[in-house]
Amino acid sequence: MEELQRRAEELRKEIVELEAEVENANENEDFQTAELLSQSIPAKRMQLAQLEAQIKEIKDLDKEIENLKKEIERLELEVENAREEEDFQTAELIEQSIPSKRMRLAQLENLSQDKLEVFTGEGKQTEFRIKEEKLKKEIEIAKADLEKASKEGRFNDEQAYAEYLEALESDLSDLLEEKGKQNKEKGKVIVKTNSAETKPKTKKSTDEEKKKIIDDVTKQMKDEDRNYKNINVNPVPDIPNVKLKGKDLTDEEKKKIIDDVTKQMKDEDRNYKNININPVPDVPEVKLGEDVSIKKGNQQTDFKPEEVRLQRTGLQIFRQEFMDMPEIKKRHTISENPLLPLPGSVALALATAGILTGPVGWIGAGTVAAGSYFLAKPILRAVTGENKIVKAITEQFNEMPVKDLKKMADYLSEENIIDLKPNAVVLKALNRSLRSLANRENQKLEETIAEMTQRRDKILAKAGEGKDRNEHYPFTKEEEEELKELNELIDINRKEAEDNELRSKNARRGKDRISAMYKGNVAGNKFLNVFNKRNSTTKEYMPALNEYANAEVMKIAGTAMNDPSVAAKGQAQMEEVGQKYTYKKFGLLRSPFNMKQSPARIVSDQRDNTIRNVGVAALAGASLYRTVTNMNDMAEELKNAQGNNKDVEKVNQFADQFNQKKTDLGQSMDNVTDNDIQGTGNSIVNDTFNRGEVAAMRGNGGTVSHMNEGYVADDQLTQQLGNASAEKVNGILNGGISDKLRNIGKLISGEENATVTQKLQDAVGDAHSVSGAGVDHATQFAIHENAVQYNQSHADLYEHLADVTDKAQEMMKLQPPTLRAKIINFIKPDFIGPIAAAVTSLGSTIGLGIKRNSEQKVDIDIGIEDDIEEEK
Amino acid sequence: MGMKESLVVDWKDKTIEYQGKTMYIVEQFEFEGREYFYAVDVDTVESKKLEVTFLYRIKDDVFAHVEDEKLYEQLIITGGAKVISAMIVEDIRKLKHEGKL
Repeated sequence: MEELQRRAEELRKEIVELEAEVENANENEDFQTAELLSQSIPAKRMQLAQLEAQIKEIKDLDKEIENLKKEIERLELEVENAREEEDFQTAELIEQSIPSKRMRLAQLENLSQDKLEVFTGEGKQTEFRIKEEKLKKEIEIAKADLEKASKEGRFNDEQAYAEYLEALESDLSDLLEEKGKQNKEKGKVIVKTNSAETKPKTKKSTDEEKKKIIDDVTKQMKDEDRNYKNINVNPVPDIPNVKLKGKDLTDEEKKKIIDDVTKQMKDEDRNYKNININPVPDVPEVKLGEDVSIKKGNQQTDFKPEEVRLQRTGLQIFRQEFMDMPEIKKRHTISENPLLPLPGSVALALATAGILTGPVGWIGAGTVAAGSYFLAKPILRAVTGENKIVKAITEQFNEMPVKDLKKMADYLSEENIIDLKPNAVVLKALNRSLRSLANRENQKLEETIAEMTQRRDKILAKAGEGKDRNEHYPFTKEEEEELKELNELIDINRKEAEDNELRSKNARRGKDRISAMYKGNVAGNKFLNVFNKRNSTTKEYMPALNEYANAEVMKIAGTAMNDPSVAAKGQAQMEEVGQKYTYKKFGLLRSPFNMKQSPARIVSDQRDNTIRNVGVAALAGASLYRTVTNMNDMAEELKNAQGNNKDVEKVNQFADQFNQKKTDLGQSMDNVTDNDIQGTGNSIVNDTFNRGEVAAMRGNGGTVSHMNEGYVADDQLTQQLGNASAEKVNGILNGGISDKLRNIGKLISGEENATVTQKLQDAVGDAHSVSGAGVDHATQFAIHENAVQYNQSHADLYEHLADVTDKAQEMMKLQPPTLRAKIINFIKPDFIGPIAAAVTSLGSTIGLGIKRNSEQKVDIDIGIEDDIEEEK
Repeated sequence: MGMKESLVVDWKDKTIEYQGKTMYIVEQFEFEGREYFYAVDVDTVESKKLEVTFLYRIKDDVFAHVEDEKLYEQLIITGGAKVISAMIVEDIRKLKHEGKL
């Protein structure tokens, strides 16, 4: 406020000084100078008048705010008094009127602040500082949360916090950038003459004096953040002593000046010249307006260049429209993010209105029910200007040619919306526009359809009547043709009506995905999901969209020219651009595009043994190979250390590498545990018990009771079988993992312990009597059906796996080499034999063709990169 | 479209379309708190070079694939151990069914 007053004072002084100079010049008969000087006075008077109007506005607002504050204080005092007197009813009544006043107060304060910052540009700095501090605090909290989640191993939370942190940091950097820009551009003026009549820069206007007046008036216009409507440029009061070329300006001329200035500011607001749009790359020069033609061919040769027409696709139309849209900023989609802090005043107002239940300044999904979010949304939309921008974009879409709008809408299908992530405000506007289009068009279409149906029915009613018709040919030829045409038209119109509905639905669904209301985005851990970055601002989005659309131009050109190489190049470029704008930070998505991660669709859930077995062999082989490579490397390090045991540094180096390999090996050994085996054993035993019990029930009239002799007998049998199974399973559970593996191998090959089998048979009698009757152990049987056929090599596999395990366990006992210690029990790296055999077994078990030649060389085509050679 | 995939928990032996390729998920396992899916490109099964990948789920029906070399190596070892274990488990069940166990 003081700033404004100071400026007003300065202007007054300037005007006085100028007037004095004019008088002097007149006295000295220097009329030219006098005239020039006097021409700048009106502009300054206008400025002064403006300033004074602004000051008055702020004063009035402040006064209103003061009055409101006093009123609220008075009411609060009354409430207190009423409570003291125990008149609770009155207290409540009065209290109910306070929140609305508080809301009004908050609004006024906000308005006053906004106006002040617009008028002076100063308030922005304080605002920056406050925002910056707040963001920094939030970043600290988010970092602490992330660390905690990471320590506790909560992956989902970690991901969510990391993304939130990233969003905060991006906001902070944007804020700092804006602040820096603000400081640079303070006082800078963007001036553009009326584009219909003049060219910028070089061409001088014939009405130079007129331009000068306009310059002076618009000098105080700042960058695109300043909404021109806040500055009072409405009809200026009488401009005294304005002269143009020695003559007074007429009212019409004055009005024209004002109109030009207003229009210029409107254009500026829309065109946001600060956005850097990339130029079109090396593509035949094309204009993306109407369908245009490009020339193909080398003009130096004699053949006639061929003209081809380029198609204007949905993406190109979308890009064009996006360029014409008003600038979309972060605040426009704040209502889509329930986590961003509200502007303090609004939050306070909402809190006092009883909408928020959490701490003031935050709407967190954890603390606020969805209901309050709903209530807050409309307020946010109005306060942040979202409604206004959506309306503006909707109007823009409504003014598009219908054909273009439909093309664009068809392009923005749900999938493309996922990929391109256009801003929610765009989709909202698109949905509205399509909705109104659907309503308009469908009404007409329905009428047309009704009319055609009527005509058709008339013809159908005539069927078989009259002398030209009979029961075989109920209609004349003309009538038949007409009927056919009518049917087709009805279908077409109906389809169009349905398409209109569908387009609107798609836009709405796409918008929902992007908005906070998408169920993945609200409540629980998922509220921190990617949606904050689903709504990019124009500054973030425009370059990406431009590049992407430019790449498509190449593809379109290639298709039009029937040149597949150019089309393919365009396609590749599009994918490259998509990848470029899909970049990760902190392992999470941060981009305008969404192409790196893709949706996956289940196309089948049928098991395929061939594919499965090949996959298993490849991975098992590769894994075993790497495990053994580790062991080999360990042995190598030991060997090297032994050979260089006088060189301290080298020994230490080998020791480090040895330890690393040992750690890796330990990891792979940990992954091969007997938990699976034990678990399997237990589940088999349980299956058996269950199966038996059910079989017993069915066999004996379904009575589960110890009064039922039949049930009891079967139950006992089942128990015995179960126990026998448990014993057998326990039998293989003895010993270390390699022993278990060997036992399984023996069982497979038939070398099982005969004693144990005998025990089993004695204990149970005929095992088949309680086998599976009526029980559907689908999983179990499916496994059996799908299990591989056994052969000796499969059995050998277990033997080899056991060997590998033994060796690995031995390696784990080794210590790293040191300078002094002698390596006594040096283990030879002779794993190649067993491991090669193991992998070979695996391969042949599942029927792969694995060669094994006479030099003990094993070539495996799948999964292993290098040939394995046996050392000699 | 999206709802069905978002409900699936067991992806083993499912065939999916991912980024234009048809992938068969052979095994599903956990590594360092995250669930990975070992998948094989169906079209390369018959060829000499089998193309494999490790996928993980971002959310609902959106997946991503592992590109980090080091992680890839670790997953080979972990995944390999898992498929071997799975093989052992199947064999035990078969033995049981045949009455040898």
